[in-house]
Amino acid sequence: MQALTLTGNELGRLSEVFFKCISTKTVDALSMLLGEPVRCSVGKIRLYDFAELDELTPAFADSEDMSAVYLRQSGDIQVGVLYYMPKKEGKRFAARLLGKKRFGAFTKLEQSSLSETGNILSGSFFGALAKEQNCKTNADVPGFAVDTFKSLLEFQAVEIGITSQSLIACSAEFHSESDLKLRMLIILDPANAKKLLVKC
Amino acid sequence: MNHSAKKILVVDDASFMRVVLKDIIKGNGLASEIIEAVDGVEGVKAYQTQKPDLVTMDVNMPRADGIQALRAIMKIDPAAKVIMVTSVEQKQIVQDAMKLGARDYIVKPFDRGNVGLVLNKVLRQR
Repeated sequence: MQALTLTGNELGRLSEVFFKCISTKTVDALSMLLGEPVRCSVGKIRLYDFAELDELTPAFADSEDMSAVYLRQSGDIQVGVLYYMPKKEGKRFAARLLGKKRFGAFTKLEQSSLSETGNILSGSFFGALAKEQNCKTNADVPGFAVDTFKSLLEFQAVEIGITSQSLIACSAEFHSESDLKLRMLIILDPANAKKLLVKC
Repeated sequence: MNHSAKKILVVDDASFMRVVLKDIIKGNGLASEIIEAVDGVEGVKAYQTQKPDLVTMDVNMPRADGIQALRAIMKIDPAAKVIMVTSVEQKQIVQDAMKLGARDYIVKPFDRGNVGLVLNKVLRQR
């Protein structure tokens, strides 16, 4: 069976759609949550074979655990989203959301604050995507985890790309005025990427 | 208008969102008592036993979502004041909720000023 793939032009178009949704609605939502200005950068979209997924691991994520929120959207399009940052950064982020000056081990409330951040940011992103591409999506309940980036990605990758053995991935980085950094990784399989481009 | 004698029920599976809403309610002096429920099932039970003056109801929850809980509460009390809480402008869900009897809706992330206004407005309604 021939593997489904996307052309350079299709990847470019998808990149434009994601950039538009992230750089407007998602950034606004994060800025409102944190109560401070946020800037973002959106990386290149690429098709990865399962064997190449290690290339998605950022250098800083090699040696430490990440605190992460992951969720899937289903409906017209199936997409996975992973929000992640180093564990210590996650604690600082949660402390900021809760108006705390100090942070220690992750409490349930702090975990909840990060899960809801993922939920809200995804709501903004997929709301924008639904309007842009006329597709309906249903959100899963977000999951929170602290683990290596590789383990976090593998879990999502298998769920999303098991049939195609490949993934389209797009990464974004958000940087707040108080120097909080959050990364977002969007993954979908080629078939769903094609569907998204056709405007459901 | 002084709402200090009012009772508000906050229904949301995320403890963080319950904390944020409680903060907004207290900051605006909207209630003397705030009850919490973690899902739709608990929310309906809390409505029956506590008889709050206002309910904020999250849409996406496990074990009975906001629409299911709203439907049940409106059956118990057609005059119930329920404000839906959604994480995105989900027009269809909001329309469904308004048809079922919800009074208004608020969107996450919250604009605190707007949320206070909406809660105050609905509390003043009959």
